[in-house]
Parts: sequence; C-alpha cells; structure tokens
Amino acid sequence: MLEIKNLTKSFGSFLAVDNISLSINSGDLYGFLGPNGAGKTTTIKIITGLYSPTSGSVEVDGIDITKNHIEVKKRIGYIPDQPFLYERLTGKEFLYFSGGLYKIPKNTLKNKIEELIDRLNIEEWINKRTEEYSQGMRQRITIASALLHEPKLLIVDEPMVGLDPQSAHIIKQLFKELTSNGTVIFMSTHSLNVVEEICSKVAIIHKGRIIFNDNIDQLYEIRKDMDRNIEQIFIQLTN
Amino acid sequence: MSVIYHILKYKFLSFIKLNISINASSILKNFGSFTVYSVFAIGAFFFSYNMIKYLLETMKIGLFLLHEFLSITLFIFFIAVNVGNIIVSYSTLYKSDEVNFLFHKPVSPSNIFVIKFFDNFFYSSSTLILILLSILAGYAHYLGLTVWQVASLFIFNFVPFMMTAAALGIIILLLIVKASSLIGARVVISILAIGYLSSLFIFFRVISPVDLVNQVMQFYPNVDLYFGYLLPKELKYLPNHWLSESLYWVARDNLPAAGKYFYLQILTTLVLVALAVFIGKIWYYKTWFFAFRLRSQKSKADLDRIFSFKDNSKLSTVTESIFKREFHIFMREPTQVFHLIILLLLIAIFLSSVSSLARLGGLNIFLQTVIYLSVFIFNTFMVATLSLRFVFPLVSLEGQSFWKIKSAPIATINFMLRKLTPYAVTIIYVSFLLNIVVNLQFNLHFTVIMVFVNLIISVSLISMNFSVGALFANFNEKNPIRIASSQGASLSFLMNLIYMVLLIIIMYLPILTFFDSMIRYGKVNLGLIYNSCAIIFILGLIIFTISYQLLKKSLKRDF
Repeated sequence: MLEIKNLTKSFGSFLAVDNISLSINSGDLYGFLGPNGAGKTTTIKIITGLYSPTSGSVEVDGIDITKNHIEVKKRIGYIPDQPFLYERLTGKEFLYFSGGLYKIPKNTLKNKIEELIDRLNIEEWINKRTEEYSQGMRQRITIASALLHEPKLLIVDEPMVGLDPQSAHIIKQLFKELTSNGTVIFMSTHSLNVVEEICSKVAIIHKGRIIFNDNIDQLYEIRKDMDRNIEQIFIQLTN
Repeated sequence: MSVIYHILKYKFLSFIKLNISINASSILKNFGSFTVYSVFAIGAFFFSYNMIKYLLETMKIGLFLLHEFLSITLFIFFIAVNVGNIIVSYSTLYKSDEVNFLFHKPVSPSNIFVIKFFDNFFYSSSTLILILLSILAGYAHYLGLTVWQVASLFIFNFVPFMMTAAALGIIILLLIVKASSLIGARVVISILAIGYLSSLFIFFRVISPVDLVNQVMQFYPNVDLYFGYLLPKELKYLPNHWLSESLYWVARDNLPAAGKYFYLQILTTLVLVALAVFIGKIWYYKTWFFAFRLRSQKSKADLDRIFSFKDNSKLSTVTESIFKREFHIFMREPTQVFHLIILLLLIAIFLSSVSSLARLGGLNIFLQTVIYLSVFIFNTFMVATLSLRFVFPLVSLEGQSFWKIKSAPIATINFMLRKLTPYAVTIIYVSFLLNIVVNLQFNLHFTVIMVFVNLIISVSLISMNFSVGALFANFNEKNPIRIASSQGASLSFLMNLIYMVLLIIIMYLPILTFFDSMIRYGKVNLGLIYNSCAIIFILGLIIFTISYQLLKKSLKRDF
C-alpha cells in the first residue's frame, strides 16, 4: 500500500531524512517513532505532498507521488501535528469545504459528516467558529476531515496531542476499527503507550535514518531478552 | 512606564532582527522598498513643486486660493488617516497575537493600549509622513521657505495634525466597540458609514469651492491678499484649516499670525491623545472582552445563510467549496469588509465626478490629452491599488491552514486560480465601469478599444500582484493590511508603477493624435491607438506568462 524507497530530504546542508525505505501493507497500523528532530514530520510531509523529496520515491497503491500526486492524495487522509483550521469557519463548514476538495457528492457528504460528528462526539460545538476551539476540538475536526473520503491510507502526525483521555480512547478505538476494515495507518507519535496498545508494526527513525523496523512482537521479544521496558529500549536505541 | 519601555525595547530589537537578515530575498525586498519610497518621495517633491508653480504662475489663482485648495486636500487626507487608523487599530488592539500574549502577562491593559496606539500610528502613518515631507519640501522649495520654517511646520503642525486624526480614530474605534455591545455591530457600522459620508457631503456644501473662487477672483490681480472673511465660520474649527492657515502665513513670512494656529494644532493633539488614553484606560479591557465575544459568537447572520455550504450548487464541488469558503472568510473579516466599502465609496465618488472631468480640456488639444491620460492613469492606479490590497495577500492569507490544500487532491495552482477568480472578476468589473463612464463621452468605437486595453491592463496588474504575493508569501501573518504593506508588497507596487509609466509612454502619442483629429477636424483617428493596443497586448502577454510561471514555481515550494 505504501512503499518508501531510498527516500532522502535535505534542507541546504542539513540532511533531515537519509535514504530511508519502508513497506507498509494493507491493514497495518504502523507506529513511526523517533526523538524530536529525527525526521518523522519531514517523512510524513513528503508522503502527503507537502514537501518534495530530494531523492528516492514514495508510492501509494503503486502510484508515485512525484509523478501523479493528485491520484495519491485521493487515497490519503492526513492528520497533521498542528491542527490549523480556518478560524472564520465553523467546524461543520470546514468539513463541507474539505469534502468538496475530494469531490464527494453533496448528499453523500452530508451523511458522512453527520456520521463522523456522531462517531467523534463533536455535535455540541460543530456549529461554532473554529477560532473558539481547544486543541482537542481542533484535533477531532481534523480527524473527521481526514476520514470524509474514506482513505485507504491514513497518515497521522502525533494524534494524541491535546486530547483528553476520553477523546484519546475514542481515537484509538476508531484507528483499530479502521485497520480491521483494511485501512492502513501510518502514525508518528511520541507516546510509547499508544504504540504498545494499538500498533502492529514499528519503525524507529533517528537522525534521519531508520534504526529499527519490525513487528511490535519483535519489540516485545527484545524487551523480554533485555529485561527492560519499551521506553528504556527506545532511549538506548536513540542515544 | 518602565514596562512600556521594556516592551518597546524588545519590539524594536525584533523589528531590527527581522529586517536586517542577509539573504537574497531580504536584500531584494529591502532594495524594492527603498526604490519605491525613493521614487515616491522624488515624485511627490516634483509633483508638488510643479503643481504649485502651475497654479500660481499659469492659473494665477494667488496664495489665498492655493491654501484653500490645500485645506480641502488636507481635509480628505485627515479622513483617510482617521479611517486608516480605525481599521488598523481594530486588528492590532483586538485581534493581534501580541496583545493576546501581553494580556496573560502582568502588564496593565492601559499600558498595552498606549503601546499599540503609538505602534499603529507610526506603522500605518510612516509612508504618509514620508510623502507629506516630500510634498512639503516641494512646496517650500517653490515658495523659498527656510529649513527651520519647514522643520517647524512639519514637527509642530503636520505631525500633530496626523496624530489628531489617529487619536480621533482610536476614540471612534473604542466608541464603535462599546456601542456595538449595546446596539449591535452592524447598526453602529452603518451609522458610522452614514456619518462619514455626511461629513464629506456637508464639508463640500459648506466650503463651496466654486463660489469661493468666483468671489476671490473679483479682486484680481490682488489675489495674494488674505480673504479669510469669505470663509464660513464652521470651517475655522477644523484642524485642516489651521494647518493651511499656518502654511499661508508662513509663506507670507508673517510668523506671529501663523503662531496661533501652531498652538491650536498642538493643543488639540494633546487633548485628543490624552482623551484617547483616558477612554482607553476605562474601556479598552472591557471592550477587548466584548470584541472577543463578538468574534466567537455563533453565526446567526443572514450572510451566513447566503451561499451556505449545505446548499446544492451548479458549480463543480471543488469550485463551489473554494468560492463558499472565500466568501464566508472574507465577509467575516471586518477589516476586509470595511476597507472594501471605503474603496468602493471612493470609486463611487470618483465615478460621479469623472464624467465632467474627462472633457475638461475643451478645445485645447494638449490639455485635453493630459487630462484624459490623468484620468486613464488614475483608473489604472485604482486597479493597481485594489489588486495590491486584495489580490497580493491572497496566497499569504491561506496561512498555516494551507496544509489542507497542499494535501488535498487538487493542483495548488488550480486552487489558487479559482480562489483568485471572484477578486479578479470584481476588479475587472470596476475597471470596466470606470472606463465606460470616462470613454463613452467621446466615441463608441474608441470606448470599445479602450475597454479592451483596460481589460488587458487589469489582467496584467492582477497577475503581477498575485504572483509577487505568492513569491513573498508569509503564512504567519494573518492581517491582510499588514501583508499588503509589507516589503514584498512595496516591490510589487514598484512594478505596478513602472508598468504605469510604460503605459503613459505607449498611450501618449495615440491619444494626442486622437484628440487632435477630433478637435481640429471633427474626425476620429484610431490608427495609432490600434498600434498601442497591440503593444499593450504583447506586453500584457509577457507579464501574464512571467507571472504565471512565477506563481507556479512559488506554489511548488515546500510548506
């Protein structure tokens, strides 16, 4: 579903992503871990078309993003780390606008919006302007906007930032449900608990390079062998 | 006071650090702004010098009438500074991140108010001060004033005059927000718009320039004498009158007579600034909360129901979404709406007066050509101003939410062109109206050609401002007025000016030939106009192609 091959991104002399390769299949919930400045957000921004790669390729469903980014974007839903919204629009208007960009027919869109409002429990403030929203409210609207067109691949950058435990629970359940229906989720996070709880595969990026890439079970094996918790393993790997 | 000093110090440091970075873009922007300001300053100097020379030597209107004309100009200038300050102050006092930041620090609201008041004044008036200084220099050079006279006129008369307009603006703003909390924002803004229009109307009714000219000219050739007794009493209470009077007496080297106007001007400024600070101290904090509530109220307005996202549309889903988003965001941003209304009012006033202006040259071929070209270039200037103010900021205004567009299945360039469409259509329509009103007085065939020429010019100016706006996009700035007065905007404006100079060069001879044949032989000769039309078309094509490529390249940048 998502194939990253020898991907490199540099900003001037700074190498943010250094020749990484990853392959993610249908139904995977892929945890993408790494310390601050490791290259997680840069990688995600390349996959979503916000950055252009310096070299290498990103293919979604066999389509190269540099060759046909429109087709790739149709298949992707993106949830950024900073959920910036149009402050002058209400949450519902933002969802209508987002759906329009994906050419979803109006009636289908109306139903989908109502379904997501209910699913994410955002009915109470959906008609207020987003400038009033808290971080968690913004995050939930962003998640709803990413799911409107039922993407095959969901790219998520730090999904739990600013969410209260109840909201975090709703999101985790939603992600599990999506993967069980065949959606691929590629999720960058700092939260090791979340990775342990819902991810099926894990990659760790450090200084732009992939230093670990395997099933979550493999990580558990290491934990058992080294007699350490995942946090300690993560710190050791990235130090 | 120490808090004010502390904040101002860091504001100054951040300004210096932001503006003195050495990279290609910054150097280009600084060079562009410097060139624009220099061109403006030199142009204003020569314009002022030659205009006064023309009025005094050719038209022989005398010193008194000259200063009464200056008084009228200064009244309009006063209103412009006043309204400008209301618009900018609303953004900076009630909406800026800086104010939000300071409010959760132990800084008193009255200190924040004072800082933002002076910040606004110097930010929004710095260009005007520079141009005023250049105009004053041209005036002083012609009338042979000393450096000290110019310096004291500027420091003790012009600056307080502008400060009075700004202080009055901020008092009005506080009153607007306070009154809005009682009777609603729409009612207050409507009353205010009617008030400003009425004041303009009453001013011109009271002063009646034509009557004044006729009365003074009865005394020809002694028109340099003082005819103050001919002026209506009401006029004597206005700051623009005090300023023109002091200029008149300084020009006649009668400093004691000028002195009382200096005192009046300074005293009024002090009183109004003190009043603004006093009202700010009482109301600013309370009105800040109200303004916040006003912004975050659930939309109930009729405008929200018009063009609703829920309604079906015949447009494609993508175009519909973009148009509706743009409409609602624009209509919910008070600075955008207020500024648009002011500009449209100015256009309406211009439209109503231009019909008599365009044929003012009568049978004098050269005068008619100059007047026509002045009106033509004013139309072009209007299009340039509208596109600089509303089109230049379009890419920047996508802000940090641009991620939604960049990650959506739509080519960014297509998105941007659709976003531009309503603005471009409105500006082209305004240009079309202006041209129809001006040109239909001459000849239908000529009108059709000139409408076509102006269409090309409008498209060229819009594409120029749009692409330069994309090149210098600043996604962190939310205030459209600040974006439209940034260094990148200055560079864009410089390009607009160069283009306008080229247009004058291309159009001069064909228009002269047109009026020559029409006035002298009663025939219409459009031969040369076709040639210049072709040149403008080719030039427009080049500008459009370069702008499009520049836009494409700018939008491909990483976000």
